Amino acid sequence: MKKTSLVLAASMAFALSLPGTAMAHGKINCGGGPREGWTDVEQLKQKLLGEGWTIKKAKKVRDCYEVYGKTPEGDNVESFFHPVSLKKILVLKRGRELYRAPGY
Amino acid sequence: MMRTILNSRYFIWLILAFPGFGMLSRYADGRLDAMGMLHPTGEFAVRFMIIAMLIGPLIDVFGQRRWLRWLLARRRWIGFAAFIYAVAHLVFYIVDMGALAEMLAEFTEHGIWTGWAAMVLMALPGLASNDAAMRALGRGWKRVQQFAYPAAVLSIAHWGLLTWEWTPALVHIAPLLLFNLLRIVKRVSPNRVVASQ
Repeated sequence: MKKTSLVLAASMAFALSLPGTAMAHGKINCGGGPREGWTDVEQLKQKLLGEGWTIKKAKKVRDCYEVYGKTPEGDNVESFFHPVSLKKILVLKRGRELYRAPGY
Repeated sequence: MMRTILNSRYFIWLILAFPGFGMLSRYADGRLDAMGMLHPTGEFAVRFMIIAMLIGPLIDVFGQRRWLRWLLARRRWIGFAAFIYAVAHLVFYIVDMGALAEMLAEFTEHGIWTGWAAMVLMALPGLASNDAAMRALGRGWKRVQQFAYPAAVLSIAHWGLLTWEWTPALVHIAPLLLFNLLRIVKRVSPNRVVASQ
């Protein structure tokens, strides 16, 4: 029993010491405003395809467009875009931040 | 009649498989794709793993209750179900990624290697959850089952690092931490010391 508790405590300490384990809740607020005013998601897809992205999935998430796909650099990412301006806000590679727009 | 059903191994198998039926039906009719299957399969792997690991501490805290004895007799199946959901999680990850090179390219990401490590640690008790392995491993069997503890913690780390949603991940492991803590408190409580003198 003592050994079990020690294993559990040591594992917890190890997991919490991993980089990037800050207690974040949710991912990002894009400040997209009412959905009636959003730019069509197809425009975002076309823009990204033009830049060399591969798109797996694009959907509305809270006040952002969320896109799963591959960047021109070849990273599989989850990314967030402003739904009106289509500005890139946040790009995550399996939870690791690759890009965050200033001010977000 | 009711007792016969409750004690049937098919009953617990059905309960354990039930969430999987729902997931697979949504996958079959296209409501979920391989990526969409990752979260529910992973979540149920963690849930069943935590439930299986909670039974021991619950018995230490509450004593040998009937419902706990019922669960204890089925603990290996619950643990094995956790392993099966974890395997499904891995299979859908492979389907979603589509190529070994893609998986290798992101293997060193903390959100990913924690998942692989959890899977390996979970596979050991998962594959040893049968009578033959119990006999073969003897006293070492219990030690193998303890790999589930670091596996649980790594699974929670994998979940939190990938999604940044730590609250649901930590809510899942909280009962395990709580009842292990209560177990320790109960063992070192003054009443127990007095009783043992």
